Amino acid sequence: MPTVPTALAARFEEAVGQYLEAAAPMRSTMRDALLGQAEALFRSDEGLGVLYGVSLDLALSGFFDGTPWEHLDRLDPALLPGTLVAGHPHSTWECLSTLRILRASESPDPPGPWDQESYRQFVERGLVESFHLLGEQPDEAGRAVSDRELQKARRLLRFVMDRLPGERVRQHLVQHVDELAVQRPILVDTIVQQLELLRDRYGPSAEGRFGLPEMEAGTADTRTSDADRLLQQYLQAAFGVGPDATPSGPTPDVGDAQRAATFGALLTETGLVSPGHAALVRRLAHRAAKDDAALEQLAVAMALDESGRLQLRTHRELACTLIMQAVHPGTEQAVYGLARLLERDLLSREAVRAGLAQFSSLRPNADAERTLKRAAEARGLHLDPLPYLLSGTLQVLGHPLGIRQGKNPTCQSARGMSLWSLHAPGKLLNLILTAVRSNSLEFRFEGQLLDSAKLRNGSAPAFDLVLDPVSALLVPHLDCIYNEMMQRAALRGQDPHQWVNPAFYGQWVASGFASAVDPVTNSVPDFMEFVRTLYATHHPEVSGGMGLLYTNPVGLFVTNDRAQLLGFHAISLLRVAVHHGVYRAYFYNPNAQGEQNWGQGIRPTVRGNGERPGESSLPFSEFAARLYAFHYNRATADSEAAKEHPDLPVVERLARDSWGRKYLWPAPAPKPLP
Amino acid sequence: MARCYALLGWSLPVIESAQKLGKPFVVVSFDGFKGYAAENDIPFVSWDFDSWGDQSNSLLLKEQLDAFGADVAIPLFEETVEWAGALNSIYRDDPRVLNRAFLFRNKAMMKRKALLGGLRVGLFEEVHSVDQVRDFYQRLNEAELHLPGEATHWLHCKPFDAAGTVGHVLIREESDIDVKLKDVKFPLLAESHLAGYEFSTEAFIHAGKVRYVNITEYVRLGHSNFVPCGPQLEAKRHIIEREIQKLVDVFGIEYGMIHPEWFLNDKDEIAFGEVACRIPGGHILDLFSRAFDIDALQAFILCHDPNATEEELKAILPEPGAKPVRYVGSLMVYPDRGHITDLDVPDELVEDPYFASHTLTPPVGAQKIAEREGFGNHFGTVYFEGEDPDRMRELLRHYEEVSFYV
Repeated sequence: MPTVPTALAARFEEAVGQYLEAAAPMRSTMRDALLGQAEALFRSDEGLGVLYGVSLDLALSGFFDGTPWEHLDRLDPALLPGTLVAGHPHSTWECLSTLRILRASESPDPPGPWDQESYRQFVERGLVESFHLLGEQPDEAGRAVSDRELQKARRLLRFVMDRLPGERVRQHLVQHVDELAVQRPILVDTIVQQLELLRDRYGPSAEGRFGLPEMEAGTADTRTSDADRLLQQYLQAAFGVGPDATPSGPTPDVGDAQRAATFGALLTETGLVSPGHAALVRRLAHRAAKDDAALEQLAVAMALDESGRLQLRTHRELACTLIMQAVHPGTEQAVYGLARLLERDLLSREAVRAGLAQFSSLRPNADAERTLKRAAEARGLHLDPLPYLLSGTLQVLGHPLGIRQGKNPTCQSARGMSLWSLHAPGKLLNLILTAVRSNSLEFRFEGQLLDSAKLRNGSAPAFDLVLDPVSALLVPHLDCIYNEMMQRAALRGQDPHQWVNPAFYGQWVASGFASAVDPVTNSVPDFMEFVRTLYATHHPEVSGGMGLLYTNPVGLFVTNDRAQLLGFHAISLLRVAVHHGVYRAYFYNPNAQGEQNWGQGIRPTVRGNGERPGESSLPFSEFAARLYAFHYNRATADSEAAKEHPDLPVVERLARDSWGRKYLWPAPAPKPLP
Repeated sequence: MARCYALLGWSLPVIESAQKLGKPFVVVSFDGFKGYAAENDIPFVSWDFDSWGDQSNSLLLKEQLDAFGADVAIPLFEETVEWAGALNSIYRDDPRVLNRAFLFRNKAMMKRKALLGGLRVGLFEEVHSVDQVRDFYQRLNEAELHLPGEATHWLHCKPFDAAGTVGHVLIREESDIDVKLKDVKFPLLAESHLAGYEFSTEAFIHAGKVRYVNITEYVRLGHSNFVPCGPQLEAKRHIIEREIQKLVDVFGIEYGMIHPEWFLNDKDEIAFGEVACRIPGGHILDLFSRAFDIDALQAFILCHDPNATEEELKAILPEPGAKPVRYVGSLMVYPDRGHITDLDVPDELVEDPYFASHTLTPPVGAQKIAEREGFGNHFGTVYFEGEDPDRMRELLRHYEEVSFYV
């Protein structure tokens, strides 16, 4: 760690003094030099202490005026990790801003617009959002972020953490992990990494200031102890249950039954598979082909429900082979994938069985193999491509709502994979097998064959391989094909999705298509008809309780926390249902990372409102207010039926005041709601 | 004491120093600054220094300034020197004040005047075409008794009125003439290369007397310098001051601050390079202020004021012979590669006890570096402070070689 000489600290404090005395309009020239000194001080703990000492005075003097950090209410803690590693001067500004908020949070009567609790919550949320920076970064070796910047960010986070009440921080962090984990994502790297950090800092054996209390029966039922119990559970699920978790050999073990039960319970609660758990599953699978007791233990270790157990018994040999082929160090989560796959009864489908069986005799294309290797390496794993791909295949088939687009702008492809897994798993398997054999994919579009190997129009030039293996393999091809289809349908004067979606996702996509906006005139031709059609075809109160037969690939306006339009996003509407008296839309969002804030109080949730793992949800009216296109069955589209629905004016107001500000509306806006 | 200073040109640090001086002032600058000035209660007159004619001349400007009671004009930038000269001619009722301003704005006239006054200058000529440059080059080498096969004598071409090194072309050999002067605008001043060590001085003049001379040591021209100079150059102060007084006398300078550049050879002979009468680049006055804990910008303003008292001047400038509180250096950083993506300030730098601050910011995205114009557009500055001028020089030399942009 660099040592900053006291001379610099003294010079900085002197310069701050001069700055504070200078006439306000003249300070801007002094600010650059102060910022340069702050950048240097940011490189050491002592320096951070100095910055911390003056941060609030600087802030109160208007140091942040004219910068994005000027208005506290416009700051978003979710942006903290990004700016912290964005390099000077951004990181220096963010550092000073964080320190002044921390400083304010320590006063019972803080200056500025917020009370102490608001300051505290902001810092705590910022810390939670940035917590992952404390762990090894996937792109650390690739120098996407300079090592020095990362060290600076970590130093600041530790500095902040040391000054916050430990219990609250722990609570927040555990809740954050839980929020990620309840979605049952395919990639759990982030979750495991955060748990490692939590274990090192708060785990029972760590020397952290806040040693985690041992789990005890009858602990006082406070929120804190709930959080600690939850943390304990996650730590056990991710890292194993004590020293006897991984016996040395494949010999039958009297403890296996007990361990299977414990692991199974943890799997149900967390969706995480520890190395010890995976080893147990392999051991049991090895014996289970012939040993009924082992098979039953395997079912327990995989926490299978009745239908899963039945599938396991029926397809005993194939299931055990898949475990032996797919579950290795680094691919432990395949256990969870297979468990869900069994519970989805997918092995009863001939196409799925046939497809999975082909992995045994597969001859991969060299380029496809290289892609898979690189994808594993991007996650810090060194794995054989085929077992790695198989593990991902089990997961994509088992929990399709856990597919994520990563850092790539390829929400359509991620959505496609989840749709196929839900409605046409055979098709998905066929795509996987084709891509790995030939490193290309073929799709038909309006009678013509599109071959991804001959198309060079992927939208993701710097493709991020931190993805599950199936996505890493398929998405580059899917993205080319999707973009080609969009290009071919681009100049028809209407939203090309109405032709592309059925061709790309599947012919079950309904032919009725409604779009809120006309991209040619940049206008909203008839928003109320759009909303009425949506309600008539999708809202149970109007549609007579019809459920969705198929997942609907729909388009959303993405807005930020101030309801400003950021862009368009492809998601799938999965179902509409009542929860606590409110109709909610449940949808799959390929970039869901947890709670999001879309402005106007619209915050999609991932738990607590009847969501199934991997689903996001919103009250139906709020969902409608961010929707820009959807498909519907023309036979059910009686928009007249929806015209009295009380939601309609609310939806219009929300739409006009958010993304609607970027479009022309034909009629004057209605009066604001009372 | 002046009633009101007219500050010609927009400079926040100067405005701040003027405010601290506690005397009335008015800022004259382009219309674009008007809003900012109004918002911050800065007395302001909009003026387009680039246009001159019936609708824009010093009499009209004076009329506007009369409302503020201005009676001293102070040029802050090269382009405002004539305007200040014109106004001060009126204020002091002395037409030669304007003529003197022209001396600063025409490098050929400046040289000729210096030559007439007995200052040591190179061989020079005003040139109007590439052919004239070639002729000059041949006459120069002829006079230097150049023999075939020997290295030729260099010459410099510079625009008459550009600040510092803007538009400067160095001709090392005959073939440079066609290549380097291809797209250059004439007329130019052609001048033989002056050998020796280059440095600058900032001379504060009041009532025709040199009140204080700061000597700035150039470590590398346009890149790094420090204030005050080290003991080696300081030892030549008596020679330097003698030449400066000569310059002041020859040019008839009465009030203000001049920033002449000189060349010192190993026979202790000093040649005159050129002189400006505005705020010098390279953060020199900032460094000077910091080195002696004074406000050099206030001194700059006050020296322009014929009514400033001896006491005021004494209070604001260092005592002659005073030791500096510290040596202060600046390193202007230019990316040294054609293509840069990132800022990299080494730990070694910020850990150095001499490191004071930096204003480096990263490039916005990857970018190509344009050819530099003069020494104006650097990316940021690193400041150093310390007790030992030799260590200062060493550090500046060292960090010259470090790539801050990668």
